[in-house]
Amino acid sequence: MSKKQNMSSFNKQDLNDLQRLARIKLSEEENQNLLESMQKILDYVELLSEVDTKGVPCCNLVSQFQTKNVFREDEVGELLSRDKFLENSPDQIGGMIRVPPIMKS
Amino acid sequence: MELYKLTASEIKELFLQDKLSAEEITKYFLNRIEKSDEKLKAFLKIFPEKALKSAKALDKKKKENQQLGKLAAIPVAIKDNMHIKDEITTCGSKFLTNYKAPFSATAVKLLEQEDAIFIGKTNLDEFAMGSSNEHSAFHPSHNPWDLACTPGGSSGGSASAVAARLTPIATGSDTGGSIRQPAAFCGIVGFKPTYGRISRYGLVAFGSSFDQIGPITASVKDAGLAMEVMGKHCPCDSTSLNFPQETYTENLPETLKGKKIGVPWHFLEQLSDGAKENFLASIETIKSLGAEIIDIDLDILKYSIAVYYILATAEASTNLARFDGIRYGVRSPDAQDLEELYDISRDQGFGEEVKKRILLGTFVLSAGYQEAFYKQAQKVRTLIIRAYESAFETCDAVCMPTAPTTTFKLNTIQDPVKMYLQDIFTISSNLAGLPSISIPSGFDSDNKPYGLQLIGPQMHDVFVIQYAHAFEMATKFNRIVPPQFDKEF
Repeated sequence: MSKKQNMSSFNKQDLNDLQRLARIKLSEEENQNLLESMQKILDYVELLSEVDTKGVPCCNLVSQFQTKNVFREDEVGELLSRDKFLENSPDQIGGMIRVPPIMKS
Repeated sequence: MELYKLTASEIKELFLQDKLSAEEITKYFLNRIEKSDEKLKAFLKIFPEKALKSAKALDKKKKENQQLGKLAAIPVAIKDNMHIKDEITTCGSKFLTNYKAPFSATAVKLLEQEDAIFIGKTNLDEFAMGSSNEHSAFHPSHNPWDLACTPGGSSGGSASAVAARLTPIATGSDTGGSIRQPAAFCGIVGFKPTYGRISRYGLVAFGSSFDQIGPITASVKDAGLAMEVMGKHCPCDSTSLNFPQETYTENLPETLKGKKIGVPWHFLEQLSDGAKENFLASIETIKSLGAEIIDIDLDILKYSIAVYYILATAEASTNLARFDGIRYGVRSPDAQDLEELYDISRDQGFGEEVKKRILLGTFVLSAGYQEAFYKQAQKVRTLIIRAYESAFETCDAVCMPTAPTTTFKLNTIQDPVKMYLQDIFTISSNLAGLPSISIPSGFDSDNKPYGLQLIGPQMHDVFVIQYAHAFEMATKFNRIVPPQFDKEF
């Protein structure tokens, strides 16, 4: 490969690290598929390194009509009721969401 | 009466003139869905009782001479990544199979206020990530022009439903082409408004600096009608533009006299023969309508796919962090502790494409790669925005094909990059926040539809609709119904 030596060379260890960071666990089969497919995508997006962006600012806001952050007063407004919200929670106890232990025993 | 041949605006007229009741209209389309959605699988859920109830209420309202809304008696299908209060929003994902929306999206609320009748929710690629509908966790939808083919994606269910005339209007969302490419593949109209023109409140977020809701319809005027309703400022979405609602449907022109339409000829050099031939024919039509064709330089767009797959995955990876199995959605009962709960829930809830994009987004944002990938992509995004700005100094709108090909057979594109390249002509409008429409522009030798795309400067949504209307009036491809569905059921 003559291309810019592998700023994006991507191996199994990288994929494992990413799974930990993104809290996503892959099956062995998915692991293999994704390794190959992500390498292809990263090879493709490396195309961008050929663009001269010296002095070009990052695009942080897309709208030309909204050039700064929008703020609002911190007022109490219409909110979801606790009951309505909890309707979707997978497990609850006494009006609160129940989660498994945070520390391993 | 062959109601299916009519546009939403025409159906509304019949209702207003007392020729049809809302109940009759609703029953008519529910019957079409019942008889043909088995083949198309465009819908994830149909609301027969609810729709008939709203229709009857509307008939009563009319009888009592109460004021009627702009979408009175028009059945509307909602893409299943937008909330309708108390209905399930699956987002095409197993993760949300049982998620009951606790509130309605602003766009949905606005449609409801104008007396639209919600007829069902349509299929999509999981979390709107895909160009073929194959990534729906439930099943792919099919293209009414050829059932073996994809309707496109991600709003494939909405496009399939409108093309087969199962509903006059459907909503879509467009992050990189998800309204326009399916509209092109299905031979109908799809409009992605200026970024911020329609509130994203209640739309499940994918790439927040790209996402826009928009209409999918059988005519440009209908798209304008839906825009009059949905294009309204909303304080619940901080990127919602604070401009008054606009009128789209009055004085729609039938010529393009005095308009300058820009074509990036050099960027389009790689077009395949069929697509090129179709595009050139459209350009001839545009000329015959009185417009002047200008050659513009948008060569920078060749980088748009790469920019998009860095920035949109980065945004998706952060947006989808909220799906943790704690507050809503799937939670694995197998988890012993909190970390396992996250891991297993996300593993079981997300499909492969979604996992891939989350991992990719995490990668491009991670220390060591952020500068080379994420920041570089943001800078090239700036260059793309600038290129459009300078193009619009010389022309009123830019014209390109919507997609490089017509629809293709389901499950035939395996290479991810090849699939992503489907969006080569649509993505830049999202990168630059521009209003962009796809309109039917003819057929290939297998009778599969092509789409033509018109793109305007930000907040020129009304003009884009006007230009598209002139093109539609000259061609009338939108009036051709897929043969299998060009009949009463």
